[in-house]
Amino acid sequence: MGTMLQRAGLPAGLLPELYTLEHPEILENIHRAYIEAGSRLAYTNTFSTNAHKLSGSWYTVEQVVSASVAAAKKAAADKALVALDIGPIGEMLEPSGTLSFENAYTLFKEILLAGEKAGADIVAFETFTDLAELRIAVLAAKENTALPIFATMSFEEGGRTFTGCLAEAFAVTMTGLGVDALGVNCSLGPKSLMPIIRRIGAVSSLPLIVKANAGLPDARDGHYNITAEIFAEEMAECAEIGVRFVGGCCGTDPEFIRLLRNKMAGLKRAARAVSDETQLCSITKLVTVNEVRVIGERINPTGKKRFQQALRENDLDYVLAQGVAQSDAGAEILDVNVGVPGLDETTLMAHCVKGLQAVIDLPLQIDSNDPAAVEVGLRAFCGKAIVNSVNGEKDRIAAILPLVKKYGAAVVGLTMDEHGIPETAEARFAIAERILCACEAYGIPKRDVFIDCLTLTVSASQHSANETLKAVRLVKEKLGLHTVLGVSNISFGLPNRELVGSAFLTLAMENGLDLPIMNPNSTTMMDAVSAYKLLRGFDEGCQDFIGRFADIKSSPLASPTTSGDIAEAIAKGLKSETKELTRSLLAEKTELEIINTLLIPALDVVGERYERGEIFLPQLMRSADAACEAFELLKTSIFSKGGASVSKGKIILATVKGDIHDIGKNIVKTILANYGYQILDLGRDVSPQRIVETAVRENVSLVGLSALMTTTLPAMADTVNALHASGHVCKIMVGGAVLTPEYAKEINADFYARDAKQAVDIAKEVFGQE
Amino acid sequence: MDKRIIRVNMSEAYRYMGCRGTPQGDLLKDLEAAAKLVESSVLSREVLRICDIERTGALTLKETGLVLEGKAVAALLHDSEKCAIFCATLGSDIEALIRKWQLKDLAFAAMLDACANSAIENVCDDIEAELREAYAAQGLYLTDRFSPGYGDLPITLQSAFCTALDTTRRIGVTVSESSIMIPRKSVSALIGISSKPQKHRDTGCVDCLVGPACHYLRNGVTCYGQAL
Repeated sequence: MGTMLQRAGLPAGLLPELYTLEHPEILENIHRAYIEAGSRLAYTNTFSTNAHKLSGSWYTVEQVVSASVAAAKKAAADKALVALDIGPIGEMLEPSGTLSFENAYTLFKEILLAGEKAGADIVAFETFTDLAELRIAVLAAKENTALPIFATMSFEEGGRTFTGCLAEAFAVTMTGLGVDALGVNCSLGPKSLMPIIRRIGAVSSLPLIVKANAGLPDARDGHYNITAEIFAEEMAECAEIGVRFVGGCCGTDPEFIRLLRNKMAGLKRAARAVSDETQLCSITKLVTVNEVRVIGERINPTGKKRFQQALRENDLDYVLAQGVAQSDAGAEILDVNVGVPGLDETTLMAHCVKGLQAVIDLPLQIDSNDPAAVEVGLRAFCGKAIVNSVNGEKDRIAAILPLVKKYGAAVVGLTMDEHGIPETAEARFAIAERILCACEAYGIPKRDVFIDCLTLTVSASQHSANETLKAVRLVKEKLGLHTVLGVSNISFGLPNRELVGSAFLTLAMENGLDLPIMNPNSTTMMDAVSAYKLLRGFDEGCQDFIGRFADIKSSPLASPTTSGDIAEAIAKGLKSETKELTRSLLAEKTELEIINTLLIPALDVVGERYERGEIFLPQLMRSADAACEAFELLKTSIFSKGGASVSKGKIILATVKGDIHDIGKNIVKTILANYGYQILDLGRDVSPQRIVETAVRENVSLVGLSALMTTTLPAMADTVNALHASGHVCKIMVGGAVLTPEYAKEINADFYARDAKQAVDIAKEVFGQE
Repeated sequence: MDKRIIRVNMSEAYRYMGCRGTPQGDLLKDLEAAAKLVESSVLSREVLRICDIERTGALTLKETGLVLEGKAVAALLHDSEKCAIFCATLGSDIEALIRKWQLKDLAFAAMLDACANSAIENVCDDIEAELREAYAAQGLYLTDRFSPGYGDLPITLQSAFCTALDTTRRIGVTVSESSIMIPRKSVSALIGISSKPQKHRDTGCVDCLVGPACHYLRNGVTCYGQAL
């Protein structure tokens, strides 16, 4: 289309979509030329027709879409179908950019409704590079129209998109969501796209699409480098792969389509071989359940006071750090449970799932009793997740399985029902069978049904371990399903819990456990998995095992030590030593004494040296990190005794609307938190309204705002004005690279904070020294 | 396109963080590790276009619809006939890496960030050097490199600039409503091409809103990544 529009005289700088309104006859002729060349599906000239891109024009989305669909339909008559063509919005979604899920959804919905109304036969989403954005588009289509969906993405050689999306992850996610056909378009010529469409076809049984470019464009003049003849020749491989829909993208014209059609007419489309292995994925990672895969259990507040407190205070970083630690320790899937009585689980679930995806690349297991929280988690997660869980109860099945089906997830079925957990393996097996039956009735494929035969505490009932293991074996052998088990429970109340846990884990794996839910930070437990994989031949050439234990031999040199002075340990930024010293200090001092008489004075010394230019930001941060270790220990100690949170005052920190730079803000946050202030970190791209609302609701007396771009300084001024206009009494400090003390004064901020040290001085002034 | 070698200039990265002197001891080791991580885990992408300059009324680049406003860019291009425009990016992987390290070790994350800034500037230096060499062979000269947001060339030009280069489709770079390029470790720039020798101008900081209060300037670097 683009090629033809340029030939027809599309002026430079004009949005091609607007050309339809000015020259519908030209569009109709272009479509007709393609249809006469043999095209059976006409893509409308609507690639960029979203309200965001049209914002500078006179036209509405509906006007452009209906004119474009009408032009295509006129040309198509009975000879071709019309596809409503939709491309990416052109702005990056959170967390990289500032476009929210909801805004993207609204933009897509508007085009889709207009397209269906105008009479498009299908919708074709194409040239997407962000799977999260494509997923939103598909949800908008499924939830608002009855249009069949074609979904294609643009990959680089190597099978990833610009945003890192893996070809297989695209295929697995879209198949789960239930699109009608999927594949690749744009970016490369046919030859380079073939290996990628093969990979997609290997994990999805849906019809495949290939719309290739005419080779690659010349860097200087933009011309594509292969002819229509070569294009058709190279596209022939599609028949061998079993591709159902073929076409041309950038640089192709009706001649390409004519030769392509002739070429394909003489070829037989091969049957496809699709893997029936269970696949889970995030955007960038595929996890095939073809050997034991560890599910990390640590994101769960049950029985953990510190974790509960973090959720209560909306301290997302604490939760996310648990995710990163488990990922680093070798977990391949993470369970996410944020249920704390009295807290809004759905909101927490949405925040945690979004936050985790921004920092780790593992598939998630959404774990909640509340169907609403399950749905929110599934909606937010981009990839193929697991839902934990259903059981044999009818109500639970009816509430959860439709969600599993809609979002294309896998599901864990617990072998229990309204009568509780059966004692015998056979009775648990019977429930597993019932759950499988129910899943199949909802259209959930068997490979995506996992059974948890339930671990009971062996010290409470000694024979239960045998029954669990037996049930695992029955489910695995007779039903052919993957199995899940939470293994940590087994050793509750016993000495040497890790020994019992790892022995049970090994037994369970030998009986058919695929997905242990466990603590990946436990070396003993992970060693057991590693040894099992070695002995059972999953670890080819013993590579992983040797790698795992080779590291231990070459452990880093002993870190420098101090004379046992915590101030020195903090000054030198020694994390573990600071933590150990704090631990021993707890024997003689209270938590608050340690904070006020040792930690803060030590940080003051570091801050002064920073101010004098004797040390710089990295050293300041190292010291802050070391002090954090001490604080973490003290907080845990306070909460374990049921004490209240340490807070010398609440401070809001936010990067203003439109701005996404946050390292500077996070540095200020760490340092302020070390001084005992409670930080309400609202993140980046934060609207003035949200800052005002939080300040009022939480009765905050100091607000810190950050901006790094000259273009976002007005948003900072707006926020300051909004805070003043609200009548809420508070002080405002502002900072960021482009800010000056003069500008701070000009926008009526109370303080200009040049750096984190000054932010501390300001906080001391606002809240008083103690 | 051949893959470029990603290089970090550590002393420059060190100064981006507001540090003076040279890094030593543990700090040096950490910075080296950060530089190595950036160099080994990042790939750059770029898109380049050569345009004719039109001077009927406003200063515009032919066939792009780009209007270049401001005294600084007018002075820079005053005797150029053509103009190279380009955009280069380190992509989104580095952002995910920095986000992750912010949770593990904020100091190290800040080092990664500074190293990535140095790396993308080096990519631009390489592109500029190649252009300079290619045009020198034809007896032509290049001006300094100049970007939207420098001097009085408005940063709000960013969106049109990237549209002219089709950056979204070609290299995955988009522009937010606040004119921020995403992925963030991206640089867009123009370079004039002239038949006359060009003198070096330091135009970037002239007319800048921040002025002498600039932290970067005081530390011998610029926010756009050049050592002064």
